[in-house]
Amino acid sequence: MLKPHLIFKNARVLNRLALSALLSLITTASFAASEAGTNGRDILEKLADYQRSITDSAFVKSRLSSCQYGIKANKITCVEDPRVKLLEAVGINYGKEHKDTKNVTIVVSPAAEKGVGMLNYTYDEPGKDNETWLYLSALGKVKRIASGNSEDDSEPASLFGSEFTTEDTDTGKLDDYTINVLGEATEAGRPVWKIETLPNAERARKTRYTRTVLYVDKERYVSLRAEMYDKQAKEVKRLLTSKVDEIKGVWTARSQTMMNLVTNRLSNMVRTEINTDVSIPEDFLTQRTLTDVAFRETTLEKLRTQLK
Amino acid sequence: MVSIVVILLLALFCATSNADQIQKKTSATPLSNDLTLDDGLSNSLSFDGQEPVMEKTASFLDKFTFKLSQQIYAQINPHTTASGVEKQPTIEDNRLNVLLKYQNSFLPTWNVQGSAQTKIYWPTDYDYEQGRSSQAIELEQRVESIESRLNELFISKSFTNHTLKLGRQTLVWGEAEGNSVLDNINTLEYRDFSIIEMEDARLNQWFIAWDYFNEDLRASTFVNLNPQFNPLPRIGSPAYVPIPFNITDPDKDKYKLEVGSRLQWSVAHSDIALMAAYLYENPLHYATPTSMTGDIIAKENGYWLLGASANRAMGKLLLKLDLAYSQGLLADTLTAPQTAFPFQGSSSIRKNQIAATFGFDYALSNEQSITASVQARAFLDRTAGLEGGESTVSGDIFGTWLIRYSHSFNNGNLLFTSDNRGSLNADQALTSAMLSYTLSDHWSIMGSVIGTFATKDSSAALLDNDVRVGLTISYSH
Repeated sequence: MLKPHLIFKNARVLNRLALSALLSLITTASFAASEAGTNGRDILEKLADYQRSITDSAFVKSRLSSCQYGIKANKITCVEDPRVKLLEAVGINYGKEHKDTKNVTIVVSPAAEKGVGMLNYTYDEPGKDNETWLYLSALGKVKRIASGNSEDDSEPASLFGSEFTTEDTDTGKLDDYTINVLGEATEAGRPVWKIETLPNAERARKTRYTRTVLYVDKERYVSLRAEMYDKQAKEVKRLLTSKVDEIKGVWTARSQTMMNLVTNRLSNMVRTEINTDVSIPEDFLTQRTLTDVAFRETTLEKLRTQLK
Repeated sequence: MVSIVVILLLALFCATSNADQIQKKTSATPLSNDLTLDDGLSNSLSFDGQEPVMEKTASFLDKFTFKLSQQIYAQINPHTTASGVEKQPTIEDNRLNVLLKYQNSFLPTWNVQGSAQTKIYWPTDYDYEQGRSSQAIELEQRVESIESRLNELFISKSFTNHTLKLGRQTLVWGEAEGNSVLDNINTLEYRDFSIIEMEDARLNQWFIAWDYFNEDLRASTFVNLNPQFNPLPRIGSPAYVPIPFNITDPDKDKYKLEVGSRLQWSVAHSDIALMAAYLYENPLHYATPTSMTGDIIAKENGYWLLGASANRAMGKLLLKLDLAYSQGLLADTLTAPQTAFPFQGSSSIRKNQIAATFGFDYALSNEQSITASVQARAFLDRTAGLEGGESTVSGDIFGTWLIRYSHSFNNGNLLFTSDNRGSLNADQALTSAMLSYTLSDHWSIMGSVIGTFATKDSSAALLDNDVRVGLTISYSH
């Protein structure tokens, strides 16, 4: 069986990620071009609003692949068969100003984790702990997971064992950073702005990055590349975007690859489907969805019908 | 052994087959800014814009998952147990296990799911020749050294606020996983010491289960028309003790029924449940004969259970509490030797019992967690009704403790777990350490060490000072 100990750890990560994280990778550098200027702060301030718009009533399918990488003909490639996880996530925003979220994430594969479901209620109110429930068929019960209050009280965690961490998927909290536009450049053949974010003293205690540099497509306002530096000013991670699509008027990074330059391991996250404005019944975001497969699959099929 | 080596070599081959053609980068070498993702990698990892992977037409086989495991366990400590039995190192388990699972939502609001397992016992396994159930296990069949069992098979139908499940399934009550005073519905089989966790030892039963959902309120009711009992240790298994008496089976002709209901609701950071049930005790109680020619009689016993459970999340800490009041349980007793019979006999007397489990989960970090619980039970009016020379086996308060620790490394690919448990009166304990490594999405390998300790008066005296080591290689798809 899949050990509860391992799921417990994954649950803590999922609690902090879930649907919003699957989407926030997109929004960390994807925003409305017509309203953004070259002021880095102005650009990033739009991210939170955008994220809320794209996570509300959303149905997202993702594929997360990880492998050790090497160099072949001056190209980065896997040196082993990648590990692949398929995820489905559904969520809504609710509460005051729609800043609280309810979402459920189901692992589709690999076989050893198939059917593992996670229900998350996240609260915007400071000091109010998020809530997470997990269903494991081997345990035969829904289990509440103690996980603390999001990213504020614990170190960054890996997303499903990948190179993406909670910190990489974090958005907002712009007051914690000094944001500078470093200049203009060319990345992947497209003109970009180079935007630097530097954590303040309080944020620096919680992050392993002392500096991040984003390469933002000037026309499509998508981050084509990001570099993360550690306390020794050494680049430790690199994020590359390889697929950019326009979804409902917003250019969106659908495939992003995070390379860990220390361990030589990379993870690629692909949003195979991003569906927003889906009519999601509120009773779907309850514990029933975790235990009742007939109910879950029937409701998911109705949601899929909306997408066609 | 040959099969293990072949499987291991195959796993290593699959894990490394692509590595020899590509230059591995070392962390000492900075990654050039000019490097881009290989097209092949990008396309193979990424959505190609034409056919999202998850949109493939589901095939019949997609509804199945299977796991193939080769397992070998050995007792390696030469010693004499507290009960005076001399033991030499020996292989106990050497078996190939195939687990097949099926799930199919074949119509809107309908779902069917099931699982079955087949074990092939190799010649060094204790179960190869002599192993067989002391008591029949439902839906288990054996042909030569191959044994199969249907674990789970149920169909469910969901309505607007209701769900009906009919078939062989698992029902679990209580918050304290592995040590709850309320987790009494399913039967268990600890066939040998390759399985030490209750979650892995469950034998499903045939239930009609009805669930009602209304916002945060959940109500569920079950009926079991054919209650089963925990089987005795397998003949030849490490826990088997030869007895010069026949042990009777439970009365198959006696009509038995289990029924129970549970009401659950959630408030801020807590889940609460109340439950009531009429159940049969597991395991069975046994009465020894009063003459050398009698049988050991299995005693079935129905009783009423009233329970409550609750949890409370406080940051990284989750507190768990289970409470139970049982009316009409059997308390095991020892009787003075009869005049013509030199041995002390065992019997039982009906008593009421209160019980509680208190425990917690604590996330030490993203990679480490600890779970602990203590279960305590007490019979009310323990000595009332005893005959002259008769005494209860248990003390005023008895129970068990459980401590589990886990630590994951390498993005979760390497997992260390330790499971430790024992009795409150310290007459028996088990400690284990397991290290599992996930080689790929399909292959994993696990090594374990399990130690068991007991006093000479303990029911586990035969297992005193045993040390078992095990290796399991698994392929899942």
